[in-house]
Amino acid sequence: MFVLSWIKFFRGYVYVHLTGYATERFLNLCGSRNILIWNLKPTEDGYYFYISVDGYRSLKPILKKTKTKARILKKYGVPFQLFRYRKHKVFAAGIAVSAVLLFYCSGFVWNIEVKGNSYLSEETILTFLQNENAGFGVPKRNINCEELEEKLRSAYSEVIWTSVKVYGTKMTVELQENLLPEEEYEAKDDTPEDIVAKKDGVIAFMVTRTGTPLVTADMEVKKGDILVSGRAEILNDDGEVAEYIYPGADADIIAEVNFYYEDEINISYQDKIKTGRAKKDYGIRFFDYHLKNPFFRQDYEQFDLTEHASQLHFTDNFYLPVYFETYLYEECQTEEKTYSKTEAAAIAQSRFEQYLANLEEKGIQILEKKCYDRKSRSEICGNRDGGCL
Amino acid sequence: MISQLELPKDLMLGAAIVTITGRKEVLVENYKGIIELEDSLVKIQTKNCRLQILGVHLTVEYYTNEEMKIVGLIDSVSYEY
Repeated sequence: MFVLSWIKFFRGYVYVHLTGYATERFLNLCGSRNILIWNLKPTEDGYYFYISVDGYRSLKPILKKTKTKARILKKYGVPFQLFRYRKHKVFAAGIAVSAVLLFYCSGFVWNIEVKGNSYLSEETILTFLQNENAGFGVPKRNINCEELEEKLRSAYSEVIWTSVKVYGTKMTVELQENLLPEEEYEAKDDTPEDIVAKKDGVIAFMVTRTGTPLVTADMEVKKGDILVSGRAEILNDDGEVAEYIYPGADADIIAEVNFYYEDEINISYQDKIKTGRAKKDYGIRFFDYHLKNPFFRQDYEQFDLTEHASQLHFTDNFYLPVYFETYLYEECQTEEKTYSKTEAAAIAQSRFEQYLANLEEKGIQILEKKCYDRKSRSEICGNRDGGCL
Repeated sequence: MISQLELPKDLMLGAAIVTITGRKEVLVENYKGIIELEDSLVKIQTKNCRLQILGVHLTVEYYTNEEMKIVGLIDSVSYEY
């Protein structure tokens, strides 16, 4: 029914008042000649009804035969509106220009979505695309998706699979990153090396696979000492060195090491408190041109500004370079405050915990921790023992 | 004979089909012509008889060669020879 009314509108129809001698006969003749009439309303002297323009034109013989008169009361539809606005050339030109502009804009990329990245930041990918001349606002015909995929893979070794798609005005870059650490797939270096202590400590446990061990368990070592030499001696029957071979050093060594950790927390700090007063402003951005509300005034001395921009898009994939922006000004006041001792200790504790977690992530086992804190500058020190290779 | 052959009665007898939906809509198929059309009365000629619809604010939503739809507040639908 909706479609039918649209067809009627596009082809044009008229509202007619019918009067005269044999109006019922007129209606029956229309029916038999397949001229569609709708919303037929009886009045005292005749009928009101709607009829299509084509139908109205073929009414003449019927009107003559039935001695009736039809008077047009109102005209509806596209043909009449076109006629009415025939002098409004600028209006028509505006419609045409906007259509052309829309068509022109649809040939560019206005939105880029990056999916599946965890190590590489979205910013990195976007910069890369910009450098490859395939970023925001680039004509779609200049973008070669397959070439981009290859370049992306060769530029970043951690990317093992890519897919670049352009739908509408939106470009989607999908990545798959290699989640294994880089060492695992890098070719092993075969040059002979010594194993050297990274820190002072006491060797707790040691297993040598290749190379000559120069230290034993329970020995104290200094930073820079060679623990396992990559050179092996071949002795002759007299116990003298006949020859050196260089198999390289490979060993598992666990040593007890002291780590010193110190942290300072300033007990006075500035706290920002929102007063609850806020103002909202709206604006439109077209490319980099900001159109702001000229009547907007805000007189806050200190404020937090939150900006939110949403891009104009017709479907999920048809984005245009037009943004609607909202600015939220929230008044706030800064206050000088001091942490109490327990608060400071809690902050120090959480930072220390973070430090320990980082160490544990590196495979270091914590045997013991000792903490001290000083009064005015709350400070927690941790002495810790662990292992290192 | 027709009912035994299961032929459609409207085609064989030329009988009008009147479909009344609620109190506000009457659809008449297989009619011959309009005899009278007023705000409170619609008289329709069918092959064998006349159909008279009484009501308030009766209008013909549309009509073609085969069917017509009348809307308005219907009071009665009756047949007469």
